[in-house]
Amino acid sequence: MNSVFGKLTPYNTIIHRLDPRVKIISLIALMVMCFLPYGNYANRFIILGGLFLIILFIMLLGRVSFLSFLKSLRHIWFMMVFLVIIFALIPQAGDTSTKHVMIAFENGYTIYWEGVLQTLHISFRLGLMLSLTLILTSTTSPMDLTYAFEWFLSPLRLIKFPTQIISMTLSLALRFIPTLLSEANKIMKAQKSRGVDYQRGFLGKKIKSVTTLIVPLLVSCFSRSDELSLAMNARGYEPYEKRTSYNILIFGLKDVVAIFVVLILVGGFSTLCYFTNNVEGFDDMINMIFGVATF
Amino acid sequence: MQIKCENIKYIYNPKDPNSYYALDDISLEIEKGDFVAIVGKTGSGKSTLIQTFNGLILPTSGYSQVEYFYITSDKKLFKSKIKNLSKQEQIDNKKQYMLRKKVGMVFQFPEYQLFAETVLKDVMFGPRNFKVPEEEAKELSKKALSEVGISEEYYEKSPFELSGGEKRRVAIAGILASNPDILILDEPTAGLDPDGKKDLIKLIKEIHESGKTVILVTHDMDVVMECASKVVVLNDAKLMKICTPEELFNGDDFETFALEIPTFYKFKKMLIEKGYKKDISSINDFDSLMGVLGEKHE
Amino acid sequence: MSKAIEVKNLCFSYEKDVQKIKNISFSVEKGEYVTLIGHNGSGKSTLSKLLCYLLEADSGEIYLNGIKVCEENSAKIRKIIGIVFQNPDNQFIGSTVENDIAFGLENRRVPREEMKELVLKYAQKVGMEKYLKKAPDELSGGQKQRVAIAGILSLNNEIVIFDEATSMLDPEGVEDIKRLIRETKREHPDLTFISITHDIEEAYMSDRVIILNKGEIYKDGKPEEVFKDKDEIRKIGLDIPFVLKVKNALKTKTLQIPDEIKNIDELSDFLCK
Repeated sequence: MNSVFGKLTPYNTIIHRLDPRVKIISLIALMVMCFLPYGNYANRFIILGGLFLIILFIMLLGRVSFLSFLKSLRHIWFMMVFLVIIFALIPQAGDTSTKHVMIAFENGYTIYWEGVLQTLHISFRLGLMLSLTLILTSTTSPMDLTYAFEWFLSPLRLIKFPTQIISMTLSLALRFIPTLLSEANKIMKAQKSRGVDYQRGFLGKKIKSVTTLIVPLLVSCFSRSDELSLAMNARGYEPYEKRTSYNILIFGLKDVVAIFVVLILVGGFSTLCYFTNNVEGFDDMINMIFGVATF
Repeated sequence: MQIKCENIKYIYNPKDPNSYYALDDISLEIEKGDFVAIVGKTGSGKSTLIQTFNGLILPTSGYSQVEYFYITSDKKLFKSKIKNLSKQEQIDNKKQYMLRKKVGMVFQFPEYQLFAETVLKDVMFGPRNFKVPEEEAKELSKKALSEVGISEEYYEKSPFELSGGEKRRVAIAGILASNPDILILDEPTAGLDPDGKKDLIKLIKEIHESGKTVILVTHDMDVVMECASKVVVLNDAKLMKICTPEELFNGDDFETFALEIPTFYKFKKMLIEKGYKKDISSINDFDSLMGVLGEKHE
Repeated sequence: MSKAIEVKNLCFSYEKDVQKIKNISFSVEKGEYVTLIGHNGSGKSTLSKLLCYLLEADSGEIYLNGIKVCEENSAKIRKIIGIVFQNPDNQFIGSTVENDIAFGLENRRVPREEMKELVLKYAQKVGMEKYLKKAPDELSGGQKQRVAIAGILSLNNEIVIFDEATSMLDPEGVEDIKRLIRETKREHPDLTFISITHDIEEAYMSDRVIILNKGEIYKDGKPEEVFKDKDEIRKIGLDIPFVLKVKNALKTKTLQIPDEIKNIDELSDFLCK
């Protein structure tokens, strides 16, 4: 599948072997770190830059290709352009006296540094989030994600919520995605041979062409699910009965270490966040080290 | 010559590290009115080859040609080929549906393409797409349905109410209704019972006798033996040989192509290998062979 | 001792007026290899689903090992009888080969350690041990059917039904699965084996052939007897096995071939003697 979120890579690195639950929690923790306010823009870029280096290191560990990261960035390109328009070109509301002019047009239209920096900042955050998700999806099989998902839902069992049915449904859906994609491809070819043009045509015609794909696909979906339920039944599946599980998630030493590392990172970045916002003179210190002007 | 392939190659997933040749340097010619069987094991490139004939797949290099239509992804080659055609033919070459009208393609399990509310509407779908006038489309569709043996009482039924065999015949009628000059069928007998298979083979033979060129992709060597006048053997994306069914079955290289040979030929071959005392190598039908085998007792 | 399968006056219909199974009675001994033939719509698959309690009979009774097939016994029935279906894709439940083999074991609440051993053992039995981590879309149809067979065998059922398990495969896959079926049969002589098929050559090799036609038993007996009257067989649109064709043709020329000869290999040996 070609999507923003990449595809499991066939390696067996330490990141691949981590417990998916640990990976999901770490992902969320690091994402929060991306969204903490780190004082002024200069600080923000420096600290997020640091975070980026750390993420890059994790990518290296998990053999996530940098190329696929760049490719997935392509998908948010449109969003970035959109943000530029919103933050940079739309006149800034409120008090503009404290802002720094970047370009002032003669008709009174002004682009401020703050607007541009804010766009860059948001894009930077998005990029970081994207790289984190990419690490998760390219080192974790969808099935492992479902097992983790089931585990996170498990407290709901206390209120008699059928979590195992949900995760069974989810795993069957994942199992059948490639099958249905190849089926859709076959149907499309058959209809093309009957003169359907899926590319061209106006709206009405397009809807008609899509029907020629969707209807057969649904019909086959239903017949498949019929047969599937028979097969499951024949092998003794009872949705509400207890089953044992072939796959178990093992929380090992490496997972403890991973959690520990993530905790340190969270602690570190929270402290930085606190310092940049509450300790006077901290900004100046950073500025002195890196020699950047304050905005 | 009606269909021609010249040195066609097709690379699957060209940008992927797992790219491979699905077709590797294939050249062949098919005459009008031929009944050609394309055989080879799964993954040998059979389906890819036939899809170049109606432009669903464009060869990476080389070209397929169907009458005056040229099919290739090599733009330079395409331009140089259509240069000498008439104006109208050049325009036709740029419209995919003109080619697809000429070359009817019946895919494996064609019943999965049915979608319309009624049988008649589904069959009319093709001709309508090919811009056949409404009345004519209806006539052609009714004719196609009667050819495949679907009677009038079915016209207004939903295609999804029919039995498996009936669905398949309706789907084939959907292709015949566009009145193609060339009919390509990919594993048409797959999943049918012996009776259904016999009916379908009879139908395909009738279609061939009505003057159409028929190309059949199949694993079923009994069908090849019964119908085809010419066999194209593919293996690992390469063209192995073009011959008559008898030549193929009497030859000793079919095992290398992982083909399953009709029981009759397997039996004959075993007898020869085990040193049967009479010469039976030129016998190609069951009754004559039985005649020879029974002789000594008469 | 009770019979493996006992069917008494079984009737079933999907719709009100169309009776799919018309008053069928038969029984199968333990360890018997029965092929069930007949063309599409003759009720073969319906019968197999009734046997596994995937459909409920309108009237009549089925006993498996003396246990009545009905709602309250459904869990017991599942432990006696297993079925391999036609479509390799639609019975592949797990996300990988090992998960699919394990699926039935999970339902039986087999402990994980034991399950691991069983999965490996049966994967080896069907020759799929190198593919344990593979997803179904990376496998051929024949390989998927092997996995399905491993999944059924791992449950250690006494009766196994193959419902046209080879009809959607290419010739290589067909040969592959047929070979596997023969091996399984040899290794487990106690296994009662019902094969629903269009392959008359396979039927000819089995212990017993039941021909269904329009929901009724048309013929039932040893292959030699069932296929004896070729006109009657042809009348309902079936063919007779090649070896038998040769035997019949040579009989008219007064060359008698012994009944034990069942395949072309033995036949050609005999003729070249």
